[in-house]
Amino acid sequence: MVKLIAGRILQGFGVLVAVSLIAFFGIYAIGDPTSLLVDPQATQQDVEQVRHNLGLDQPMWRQYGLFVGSLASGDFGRSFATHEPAMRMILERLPATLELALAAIVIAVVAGVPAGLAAGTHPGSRLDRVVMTASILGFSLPTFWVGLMLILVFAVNLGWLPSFGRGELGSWLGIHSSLFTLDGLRHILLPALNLALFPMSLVARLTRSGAREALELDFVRFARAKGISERRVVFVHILKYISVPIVTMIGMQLGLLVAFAIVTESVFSWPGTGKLLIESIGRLDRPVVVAYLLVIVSIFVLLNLLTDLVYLTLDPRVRFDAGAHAE
Amino acid sequence: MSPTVCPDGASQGATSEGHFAAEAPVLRVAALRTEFATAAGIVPVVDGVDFALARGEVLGIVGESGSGKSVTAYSILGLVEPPGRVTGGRVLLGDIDLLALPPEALAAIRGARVSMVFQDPMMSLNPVLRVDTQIIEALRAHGSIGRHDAHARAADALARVGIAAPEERLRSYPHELSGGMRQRVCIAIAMLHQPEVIIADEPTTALDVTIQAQILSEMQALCASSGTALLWITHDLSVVASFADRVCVMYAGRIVESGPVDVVIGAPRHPYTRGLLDSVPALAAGGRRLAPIPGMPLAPADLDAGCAFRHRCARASERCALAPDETFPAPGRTLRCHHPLDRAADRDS
Amino acid sequence: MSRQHASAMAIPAVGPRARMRAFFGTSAARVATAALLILVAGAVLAPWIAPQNPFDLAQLDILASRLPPLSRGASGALYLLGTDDQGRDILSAILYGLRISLVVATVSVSFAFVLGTAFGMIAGTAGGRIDALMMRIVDIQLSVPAILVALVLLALLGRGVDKIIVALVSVQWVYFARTARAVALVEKRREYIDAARNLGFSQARILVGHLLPNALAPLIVVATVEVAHAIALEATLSFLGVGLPVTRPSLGLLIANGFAFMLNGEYWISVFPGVALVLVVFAINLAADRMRDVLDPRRTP
Repeated sequence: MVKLIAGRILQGFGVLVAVSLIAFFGIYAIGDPTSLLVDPQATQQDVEQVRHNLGLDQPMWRQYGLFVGSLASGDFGRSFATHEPAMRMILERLPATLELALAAIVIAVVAGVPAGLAAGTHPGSRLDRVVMTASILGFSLPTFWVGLMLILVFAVNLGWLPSFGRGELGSWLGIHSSLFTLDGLRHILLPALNLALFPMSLVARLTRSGAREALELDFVRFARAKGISERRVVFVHILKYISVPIVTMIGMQLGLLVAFAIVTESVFSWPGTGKLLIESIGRLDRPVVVAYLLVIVSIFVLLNLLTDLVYLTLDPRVRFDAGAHAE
Repeated sequence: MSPTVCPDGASQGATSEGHFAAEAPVLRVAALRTEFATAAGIVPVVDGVDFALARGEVLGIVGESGSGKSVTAYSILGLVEPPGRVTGGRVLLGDIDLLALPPEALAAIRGARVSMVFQDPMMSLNPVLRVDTQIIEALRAHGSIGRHDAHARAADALARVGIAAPEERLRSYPHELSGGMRQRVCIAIAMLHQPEVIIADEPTTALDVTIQAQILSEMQALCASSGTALLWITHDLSVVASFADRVCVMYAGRIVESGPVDVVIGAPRHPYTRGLLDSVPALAAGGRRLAPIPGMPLAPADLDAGCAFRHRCARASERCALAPDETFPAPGRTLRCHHPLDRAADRDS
Repeated sequence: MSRQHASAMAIPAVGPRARMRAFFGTSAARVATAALLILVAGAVLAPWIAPQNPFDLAQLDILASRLPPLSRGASGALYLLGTDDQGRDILSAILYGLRISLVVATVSVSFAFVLGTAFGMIAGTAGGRIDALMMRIVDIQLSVPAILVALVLLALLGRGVDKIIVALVSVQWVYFARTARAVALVEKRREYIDAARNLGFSQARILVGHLLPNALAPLIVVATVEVAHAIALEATLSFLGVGLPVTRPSLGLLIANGFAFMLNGEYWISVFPGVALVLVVFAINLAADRMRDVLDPRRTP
């Protein structure tokens, strides 16, 4: 088990190194950012000075070494646009993105799991077909379009919910979040619903197929033969049994949602990292883009690790025999 | 283990439906029919099965895989899953027809008055729930019980089926137990409420031979002490021979022969029963060569109205294209065959 | 979805004509195909059937801006779906926008098809370490969300039709590579490939002549799904302002333009282009779903 985790940590580290390489060569090495940084009227000497200060006159491998070295000391460079440290800009926006992704995943699970269970335990029923068709819609409709429609219906026409911003932030245990005030919750509802659409479809489908398979298994029949209620059969026996792949998937989705939030944040003017990324791309603000990439990938890696740990606690069998569980 | 003769043995007459009963039976299955919807149409897997189970009796149902014996078991407790469906007959527990009960009322009977043990102990316990959870939920399903009492009863139940260190086992997950121990847990669960009937669907098939014998004798003792009737479903005639009171031989969804176990095994009348016996080393009557039954059973979809065994039967004639009626060749025996073996011929050959 | 098609599935569809018949065996497929034909015809014929050329500033009447659907302009022209802030007829803008969206999507899917298929087939036939390495690249790419890859590329490259095509190809080639490799692995074991090799055919001829025909059916299904993906992704990127330039208003850009007005209740500027987008994407997905059923008899419904 320790070996398994150590392996995963090593693998995650490898991915980070790969991303730092891609980020560096892809973003720093292509083209010369000096022209963006210095005054167009600057003399050749000034330009050389700036190049020297940025280390751009060094050979490529040394530049990468410097880049990695500064990464290690937490320096991701300063934003070309605001001259703030890029990392601080990202970290300031990160809570907004994380709370949005978290709210979305909660909605996806709360709606997707029961829908999938209902569909899976009644194969071929009308309910089953409705859930399946809805999930195709969830997969194929562009997120930004659904976001617009949510705004049109619930904010513009009905006027029930606000359409942009985080609203009032509450604070609890030192964390500031929209989730802690009523106004904040009203603000987060539409964007979270929008972001939840895709994972909800995924969770519903996965739950459905898991439940269908579990129904055929002997332990479900034995549980019924014991005379326990159908509710307990479905919500304890089947749900616990299929929870392992579902939790695994949710863990991976949470990471992806942080990235997918780019679209939702732009539609709902949610002040998170995704919106910052779009703004930075528009301003050609490379350090911020690189910092964003590295932070997001670190989150992916971390969440995957966490998912593995949860997987180990959920499925008693893997503690003894990793990989024995047929998913 | 010598075969115990059914208490109401050969002295009692058959009822009009061909059943066999002295006092009112605890469980009576009449004209049970279960169909499966398949790509080839609707196929009857259980086709008019009748039998009765007296208090404390052990009834064996023997048949090859696909003969409908397991589906018969599932049908009794309403555990047939779509595309299967029970379409006819009655299952009387006392005077309640289980097939007519609403789901909640049936759930109240399952595990309390009629319980079940399944073939594969690897699969019949939920792998992600602890043993205590799975025992206690069965206790709670039929009456409220405090945490402490429930735990004590669960430990007691395990001890009664011969599990050492029950307290420790309660905290285990199923995969931490051996196959035999898992099956004991299942049996303990089935026995929790001292049911009137336990239906055991090949409960020892997946186990080692030595453990098989142990579990057989333990179950027999447990049932005898509590007066529980046992419906033992198996493909293994030697298991039935060793401890059932009566036996029903099933072929292609029908009971082709039934009767007291020593009589049926000692002097089978149906060619299929004879064939089964000849393919079991321990039972092939002295000097007879081991002979597997030629051919394979027809797929349920290919069955017609005639005797389903006639394609594999040396005695088959044109008459066999018509379904043989059930006959009662002796008290307590039933038979469906146009050309039964007679006792003398059988002994000589 | 595919459960409803169970009855049609029972008939084995071999030969192009039988497959065609099987494809149209469900009403969902028929409706999807009809909707698609109408939309594509509208896009192709836009210069001839659109009431107005939205790129021709001379035809735009700024006084007729933001008119609701079914209004008439000063000249008496009917604006079936209303006008936008520049007095552009929404219906015409949709037809032209659809044209751009479809062209971008089909061009990028074609490139991705060729590149990905070649990559996958080489990996599949080469086998061993080369295969493992090539597939590791595919796996890594698949683990990163497409939108992120496309955004980063566009951040580097800037806006433009060619650039968005590069971005789309970069995210889509993997799906073709994965499919082509799977087919190559199966076919590699078949005897006739060995036979062809013995006859002295070159590796390239084996790939093109023998593998491709077998891989075609699953690849076409992938291509269909990917066209829908490409349209949706391009619309998303354009909506975010990093995709197509304003001079090429695809559906995504039209929707983005109308967004601000939507909050004032002038819904039509955004909603109608959005409806066109959703119709195209959903119809293609439905058709692909049905194609998968017809072309791949192994897949159980």
